[in-house]
Amino acid sequence: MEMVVVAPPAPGRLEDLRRRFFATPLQAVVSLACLTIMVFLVWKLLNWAVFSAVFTTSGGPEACQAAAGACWSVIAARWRIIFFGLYPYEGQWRSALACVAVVVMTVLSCIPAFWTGRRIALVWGAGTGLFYVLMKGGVLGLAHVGEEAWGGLALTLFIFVTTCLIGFPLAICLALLRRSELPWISRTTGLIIDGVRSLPLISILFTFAVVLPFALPQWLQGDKLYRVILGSALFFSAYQAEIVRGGMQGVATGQEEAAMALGMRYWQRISRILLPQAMRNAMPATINQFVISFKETSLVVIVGFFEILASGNAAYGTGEWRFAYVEVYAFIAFIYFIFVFSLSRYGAFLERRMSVSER
Amino acid sequence: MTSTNSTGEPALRIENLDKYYGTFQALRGINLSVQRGEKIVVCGPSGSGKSTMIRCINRLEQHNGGRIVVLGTELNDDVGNIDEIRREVGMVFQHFNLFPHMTVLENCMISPMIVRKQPRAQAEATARHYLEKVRIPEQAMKYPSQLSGGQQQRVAIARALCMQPQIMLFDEPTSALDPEMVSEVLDVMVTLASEGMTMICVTHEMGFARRVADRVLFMDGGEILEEAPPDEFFTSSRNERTRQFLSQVLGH
Repeated sequence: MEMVVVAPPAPGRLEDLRRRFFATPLQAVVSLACLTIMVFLVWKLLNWAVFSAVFTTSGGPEACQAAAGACWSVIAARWRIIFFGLYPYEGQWRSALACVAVVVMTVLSCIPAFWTGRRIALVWGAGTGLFYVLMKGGVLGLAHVGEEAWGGLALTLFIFVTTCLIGFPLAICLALLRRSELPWISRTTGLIIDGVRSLPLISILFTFAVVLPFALPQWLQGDKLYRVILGSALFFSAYQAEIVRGGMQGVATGQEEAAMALGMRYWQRISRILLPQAMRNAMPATINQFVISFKETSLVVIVGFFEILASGNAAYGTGEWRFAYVEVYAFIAFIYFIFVFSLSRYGAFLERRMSVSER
Repeated sequence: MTSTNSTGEPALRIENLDKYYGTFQALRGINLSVQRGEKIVVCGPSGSGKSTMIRCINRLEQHNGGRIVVLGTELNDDVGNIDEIRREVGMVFQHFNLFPHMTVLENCMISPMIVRKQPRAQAEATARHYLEKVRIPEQAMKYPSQLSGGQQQRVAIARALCMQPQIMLFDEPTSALDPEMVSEVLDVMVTLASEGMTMICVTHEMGFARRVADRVLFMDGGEILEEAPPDEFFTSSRNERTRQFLSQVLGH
């Protein structure tokens, strides 16, 4: 007699559900209880945020406060201050354009086709240049706006992007110095990295913003904003340097030997063989560091900058909207989420892209 | 610095070479001269210094005493000399060491392009020529991880050849391979030998040594104990340790 081998039929949806969540009576009870709690919470949240919420400013703060749900009219009434901070009203279109410039620059430099030295330099030069001209003005008929008046989303993005632009190359330099064969170089670098890492970011920002002007001659000081960015870039680079170093340790020693045997010089080995592989290894930790840095931009408020979180405080800070702080914070959390989520999705894209050539 | 192509100058001359790792002496007074077109097979037990010796030839290891003259250029601390020698000396490693983030073709093109400054089209033509030669032209667009060990090692040979070196060093090229893949790599090496390449191979493949070697060296304890043409080496070895080693290698 002939044996016919048939694969067992794949369980249907319902059968699958039953096996996973209702296998025993106890499991069924737990599943049902969890489901009830979840439905209840989701319904409460939706009811607050959507069904009973007020979206228009027509009724003013009083009508809004009387409503059972969220009062989104605070966003409709005060969005300008959240996005633009103290930036002059008539120039806020410039601040908006500047945000677009930074976002476009970031998106472009995330596309692999732009990863050549010249293109990336072009994108970054144009992006930061455009941002600076738009924000600062004083040329092309744009009214001059000092750095002390910059604020909101534009300031947050600017601090984040410049921190990364300065901090990332610095991190790579530190990581390379740290693996130098000369002990006095590697140890000094290690000491600098550990020194910076042992300080809280707040104290570094404070030092760069307030203490440094006493130590530096006038012409070297620059605006407080740029000193704060330098401090935050230094902090970023100390952590990122360790991430890059970890990535380098994951690259087999044979890789550098093969490159040497092929006659490549130091910088060719570093840029073509070592770093591309090290950055691949370091990718998840790097994305993590970017996310942390993005959120840490909110600390600049202690040295007097109105980035997006501080602007949010100002948005509900006026008497009439004082009750609506939850809505403002929820809105700002949403903005943070958009940026951080994009970063992590981009990280996932890079990992997928690289998995082809994995060992 | 002397000229690279003076006639009569051997491809490689090693005199009284010493190498230490800390206080351990890995090489003791090695003397070796290799003529152009000569094929040398180096064998010996593990830890005998064979790999260290050939890694000194392209300065992957720094020697502590004696002289190494490659193609008329002395290896010393002069970075220019080191670069010049590495351009002319190809190396194939036990573990292939292909660049995993590049395709096979890019592996073969990168060094000619950035070290020899060849235009892309020329580098690609050369790369395809040598991939054809090692019989895997169809794998050009794949990544190393998608190939078998034997294929990877053949790519590694092609990659070294793309620099059009005058000397090829092989550091146990078949030791990390599954047995059924050894012959495809050895075949490529035999072809290369028949075309007159100067080759120094550290290997335990005694059949290969018999077929292509002009001389076989036996090393132990950081010294060259025996040096003879293969016939003589395998049949009438004078040295007790060589005979013992050969009986172990050929025993099965």
